[in-house]
Amino acid sequence: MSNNSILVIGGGFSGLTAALEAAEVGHEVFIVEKMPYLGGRVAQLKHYFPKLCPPSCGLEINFQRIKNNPRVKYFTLAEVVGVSGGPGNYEVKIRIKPRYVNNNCTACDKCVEVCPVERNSDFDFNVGKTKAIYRPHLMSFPMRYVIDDQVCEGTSCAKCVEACEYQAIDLEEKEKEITLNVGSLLVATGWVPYDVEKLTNLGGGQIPNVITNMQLERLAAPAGPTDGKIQRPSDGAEPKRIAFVQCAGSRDQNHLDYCSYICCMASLKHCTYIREQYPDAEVVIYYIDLRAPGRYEKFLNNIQQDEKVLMVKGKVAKIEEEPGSGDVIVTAEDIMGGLKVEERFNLVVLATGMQPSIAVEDLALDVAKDDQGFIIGGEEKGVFAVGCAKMPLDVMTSAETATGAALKAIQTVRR
Amino acid sequence: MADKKIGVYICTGCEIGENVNMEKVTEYIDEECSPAVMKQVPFLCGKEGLAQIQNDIDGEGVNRVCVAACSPRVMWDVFDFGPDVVVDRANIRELAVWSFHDPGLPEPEEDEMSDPLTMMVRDYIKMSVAKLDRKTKPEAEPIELDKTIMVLGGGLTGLTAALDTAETGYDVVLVEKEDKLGGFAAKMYKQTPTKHPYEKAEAPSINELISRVEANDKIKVMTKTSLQLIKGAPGKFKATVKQGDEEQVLSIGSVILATGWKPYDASKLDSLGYGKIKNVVTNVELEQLAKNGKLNRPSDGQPVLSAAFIQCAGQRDAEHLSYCSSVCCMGSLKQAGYIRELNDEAKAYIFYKDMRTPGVYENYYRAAQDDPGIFLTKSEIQEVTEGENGKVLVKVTDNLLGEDFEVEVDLLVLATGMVPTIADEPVLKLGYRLGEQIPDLDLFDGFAD
Amino acid sequence: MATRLEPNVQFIREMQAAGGESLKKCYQCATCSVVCPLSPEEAPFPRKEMVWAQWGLKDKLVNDIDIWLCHNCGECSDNCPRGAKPADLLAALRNMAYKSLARPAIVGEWMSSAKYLPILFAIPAVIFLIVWAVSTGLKIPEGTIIFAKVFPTLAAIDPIFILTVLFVVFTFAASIGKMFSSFKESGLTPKEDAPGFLMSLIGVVKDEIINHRKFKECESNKDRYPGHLLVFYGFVALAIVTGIVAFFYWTDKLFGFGMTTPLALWNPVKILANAGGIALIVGLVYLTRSRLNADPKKSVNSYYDWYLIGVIWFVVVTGFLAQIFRLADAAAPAYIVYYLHLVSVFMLFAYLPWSKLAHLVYRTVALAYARQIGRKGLSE
Ligand SMILES: Cc1cc2nc3c(=O)[nH]c(=O)nc-3n(C[C@H](O)[C@H](O)[C@H](O)COP(=O)(O)OP(=O)(O)OC[C@H]3O[C@@H](n4cnc5c(N)ncnc54)[C@H](O)[C@@H]3O)c2cc1C
Ligand SMILES: Cc1cc2nc3c(=O)[nH]c(=O)nc-3n(C[C@H](O)[C@H](O)[C@H](O)COP(=O)(O)OP(=O)(O)OC[C@H]3O[C@@H](n4cnc5c(N)ncnc54)[C@H](O)[C@@H]3O)c2cc1C
Ligand code: HEM
Ligand code: SF4
Ligand code: SF4
Ligand code: SF4
Ligand code: SF4
Ligand code: SF4
Ligand code: SF4
Repeated sequence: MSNNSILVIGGGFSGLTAALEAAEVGHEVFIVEKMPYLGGRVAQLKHYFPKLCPPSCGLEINFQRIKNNPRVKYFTLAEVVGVSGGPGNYEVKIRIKPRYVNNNCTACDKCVEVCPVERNSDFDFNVGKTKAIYRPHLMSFPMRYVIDDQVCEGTSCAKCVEACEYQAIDLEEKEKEITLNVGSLLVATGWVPYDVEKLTNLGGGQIPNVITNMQLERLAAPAGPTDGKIQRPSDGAEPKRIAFVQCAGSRDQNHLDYCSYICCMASLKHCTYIREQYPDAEVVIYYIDLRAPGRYEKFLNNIQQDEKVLMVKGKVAKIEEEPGSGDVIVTAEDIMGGLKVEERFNLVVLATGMQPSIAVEDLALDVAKDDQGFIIGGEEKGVFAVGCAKMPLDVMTSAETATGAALKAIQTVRR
Repeated sequence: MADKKIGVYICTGCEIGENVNMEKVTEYIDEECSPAVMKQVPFLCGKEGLAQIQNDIDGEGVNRVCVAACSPRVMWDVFDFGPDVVVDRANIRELAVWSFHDPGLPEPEEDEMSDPLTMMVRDYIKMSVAKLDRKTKPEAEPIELDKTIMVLGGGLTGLTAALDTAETGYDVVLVEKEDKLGGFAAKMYKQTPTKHPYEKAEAPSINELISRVEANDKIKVMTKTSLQLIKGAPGKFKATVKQGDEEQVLSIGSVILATGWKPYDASKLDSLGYGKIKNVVTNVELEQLAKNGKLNRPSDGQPVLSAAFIQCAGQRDAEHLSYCSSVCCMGSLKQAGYIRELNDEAKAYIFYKDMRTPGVYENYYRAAQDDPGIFLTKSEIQEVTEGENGKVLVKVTDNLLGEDFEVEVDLLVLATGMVPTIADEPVLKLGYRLGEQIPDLDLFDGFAD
Repeated sequence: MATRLEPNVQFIREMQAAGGESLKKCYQCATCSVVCPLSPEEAPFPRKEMVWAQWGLKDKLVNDIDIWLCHNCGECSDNCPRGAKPADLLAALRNMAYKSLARPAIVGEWMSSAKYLPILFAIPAVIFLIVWAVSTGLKIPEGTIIFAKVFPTLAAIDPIFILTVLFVVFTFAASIGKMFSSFKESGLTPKEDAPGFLMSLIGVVKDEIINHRKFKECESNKDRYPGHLLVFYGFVALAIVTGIVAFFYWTDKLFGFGMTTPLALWNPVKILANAGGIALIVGLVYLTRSRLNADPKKSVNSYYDWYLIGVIWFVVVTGFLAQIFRLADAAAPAYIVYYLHLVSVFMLFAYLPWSKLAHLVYRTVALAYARQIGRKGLSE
């Protein structure tokens, strides 16, 4: 008799969807998420297309479904460390890192006020800071604080422990390991932004006013580090001319050898963010192909109506800082115009792509991957990849793959 | 359910106690709602706080609990006292205490009035109590659900849905209006790659899918069948279908809509020569010519030594289809291969606006273009005219080659787009007051939302 | 009236065979034109060459001056996202130009593939074998080793090489004429106020060739600058030596003063010769190493590349070995190696217009013309 439960690795949009679909048909589901919150990358966006909802929109519905469904159990700060057995009968070892904050935490923020240590916020892609003890983000689920033990000074400090009226902090919490028995595994480990430091000719990570599209999401997000104001990192100035560099590291055999699917749409979406704040800002989008497939075309059309948004066919291959002004000089060939041009911008956004997260940090699971790190097999073992772990996709299609794979997982455990 | 007995528990932690005049609040609530129990607790979500509530439930028979504390987004799992106790959260922390900014109103003169924050808090609690007071627990009415699923449309989508439904253990009725299953996929000569490394067109896999569906005894296939009417409600639909002259009523739990698409009406593309020039065909027609092994010039049956593909023939155009059909760039790359395999000297031109092969399909683009006989350029079509000997002349501007030019080809293929079948026909035929289709927001040009 | 295009598929295949095999992979992103340190603002290269090549537009490509402005630094290929290797395409186009510009065409054919190498070798091998047969009946002469005993300067070597040089000069004159008209055909003509060709030529030599300025801008391949510089000056040194030796040979013959070969090792001319030879070797090591280390994903070495490097190695190695054997008084090896040296020198010079070394003329001419029409890199 095969085990009826399903394990979902990764609690992003795909993982949540897959987990809930399976749980709502009656299966016990475990979500293993390595971050301190569920929701994945979508939680970091300001809005998401096609309808430009804030992420809380789609995510909160799913969290509500989790809250109301006792069959879904989730572990944050957790990672799979070993998988044995076979389809219908897997034994999965999971390591849970200490959060140092238990569920007494009322999210009152007292501890943050007293904590002396600051850290770069990885949630904000380093454009913002938090204390060593912090709330993962404004809409975090679970809404519980967490301590970054890489920077926390520990028991020698313990200021937070003192400040916490609810005995929510335990600086001596230890790592735990648990074992789960499940019948099938869904891999929803999603993506990481491609490392811009590798894009040396584009000034990635070197030039202050060259940022990534995900950093722009955080700058524009109302609860982000600038309270939603899009500004230049170097001096906080309002940008008047902004360039988007499409395919920054994607469709490139020296970097990501596939199209990241969403970055054209993401940049078009970003035009709406900019227009919202700066009615007169000029935007130039440098592209190879504008990929707004299917019904997204409408979105492209809307942006094309904007006279101050120019779209230039020709990839940017050189970006340099103008000494002194902090401005950025972008070189591209305007192919349709037949000219190689240098243009000056206040802010440049690299539309970097999505790299499968397991290409950067491998998963303790034996499953076939392509040379880029996308999962291409596993069905025969009852292992199914969904969302951006399978291929680069938008949220909507990720959710579709999740639903489909949940069905396959159910078939596996019912066999 | 037994008598309602309401308990109000006000948390004084998280800055609530310090900022709210609790005396005034309790006084007011007592007066207005007179709950059975009302308590102020310093740390309501903590062990002791919860124990107090539990005590009152056990001892006093409290069965409706107003938790006047934080937002239900926090501590959502701790205030759970079993199925017989109804809990409501009065969010006085986030919605009142934490978000309150003193508007600087003058102190109330009359003594019974409170400061604005206290007024907010007491109103939230009053609303919560009112809610608890009026709420009745719904009684479930178990109904017998039909577990059979109807799949409407037997194309690739419908077949896949039917098979997976059956393999998960449900009975399926597959309704297809044509006499054969497979939809457009069954009319294709080759299919674009479906597997890593996504580089080569494949033999269509649809026949295997069809035979698996036909062999599955949980799936009842009804071809040449049309749907007449769906009545009832989810879990309890009655679907009237007509096969030949015979009508039947099926009991169905839910419906999967998979009626696919139809090609855009190419007669509207006369500006691109369709209908005027014999050797202008659509991509759908080309697919069938290739499938039937007759990829020749329609005008005279002569072999095709050169073909041009015009992408977005109608799509991405406000006058025709305002959306992109997603598949026709891939389709033309594939079909250019058909032209090339006829003759090693054959040439295929593809004129695109943007080459849309997103995601991993980029691999196919790269592999397909690596052929000396395939010529691609971004461009705008200026004019299509008829040349000598049945040739077609295509003039293009705004291209990558640096100047306007024309090519002369044996065959011009218009990469036309897909129109959803539900765009102008009420396919679902719902016997509902709201209309025969599922109402949607009209966001997606006729595609279901 | 729009131009009618008819892609020349045969030409595409030729380009692919001549080294541009990946040209069809290009998806026209223009990364290459941007990263190219030499590409000009207007109609930058090599993106446009890539699309012309994909479309088999032979007319445009054979008249394109830009293939000569490219210094094959490989920056474009290194950054090309598709592995389309634009630098290799331009190199292939140059190879095809070597083949098509100079007459008789048959030599170009022989130069285009390794399978004809035996012919190229056999021609000088037979010529010098005949000389040897006539002079000493293919025997190794007794006594001090003097190469002129076997290969008499006046009777054989000078006439052969003077004829060769005349042949080469004549060939180049014709092909440079062709080159000019092809540039004009592509619509590039100097403006009224443009400097004259000679002025431009002097400018090019002064600003670009002497200091190898454009090689220095190459970031992808750091070995090329020292490599080419050393080879170039090595050649210049050897050319000067040859000139001096020839000059004094004739003064000696006619007026009785001068030098006779072999020169003593301390003779300044001999020192210059050896220094040039060493520069050549060191330069060759650089160039060979960079070719051997090339990442096949970024660039592929063509037969033209190896022919040139190979023949220069052949010249240098046989030259030095001949000298060493002579000093070591090993007669048989010395004469045989010297024979091979003559063969190699012939292979280098007599086929020059068809080989990659023809670039020394074509590039110089094209650069001078580009200067006249004001075509220069965006960053210049
Ligand atoms: C700039 C930008 C803007 C975008 N905007 C939009 C938009 O507007 N609309 C849209 O539809 N899409 C958008 N996308 C795409 C969208 O982000 C993805 O489609 C979506 O995040 C995919 O969800 P996922 O669950 O597959 O992956 P993720 O969101 O990456 O979730 C994966 C989860 O798995 C966890 N995880 C990873 N590895 C492990 C491990 N080893 N163990 C346990 N857990 C692990 C991660 O922490 C994460 O929570 C955008 C992308 C970018 C780059
Ligand atoms: C030229 C061209 C080439 C293409 N090539 C490829 C390719 O190589 N690879 C690829 O993946 N995709 C390709 N596509 C796209 C592919 O055709 C579609 O994705 C696919 O057909 C979708 O399948 P479907 O089942 O949703 O719809 P369909 O194939 O349209 O099937 C719908 C089915 O429903 C039936 N039906 C319709 N109305 C009713 C009704 N009222 N009641 C009952 N039944 C009904 C129809 O008869 C049909 O059998 C191509 C498209 C075009 C235009
Ligand atoms: C005596 C004169 C010259 C000699 C002996 C010489 C020799 C060489 C050699 C051996 C190479 C091959 C390098 C390699 O394979 O990597 C080369 C390449 C090159 N030379 Fe010269 N050269 C001479 C003159 C010139 C001049 C005058 C120019 C410039 C204007 C020039 C420009 C180049 C360029 C750009 C290359 C790289 C081209 C390529 O690899 O395809 N050379 N040269
Ligand atoms: S850990 Fe304690 S102090 Fe910090 S937010 Fe949670 S309850 Fe408040
Ligand atoms: S113990 Fe760590 S988290 Fe707590 S206050 Fe000190 S540094 Fe901050
Ligand atoms: S979606 Fe657009 S920007 Fe992103 S990789 Fe694809 S083509 Fe490039
Ligand atoms: S041809 Fe390409 S871009 Fe045009 S509608 Fe079709 S898929 Fe979209
Ligand atoms: S050769 Fe490479 S870099 Fe240049 S346009 Fe083509 S794909 Fe882009
Ligand atoms: S090889 Fe160098 S010089 Fe030649 S086109 Fe490429 S980048 Fe420019």
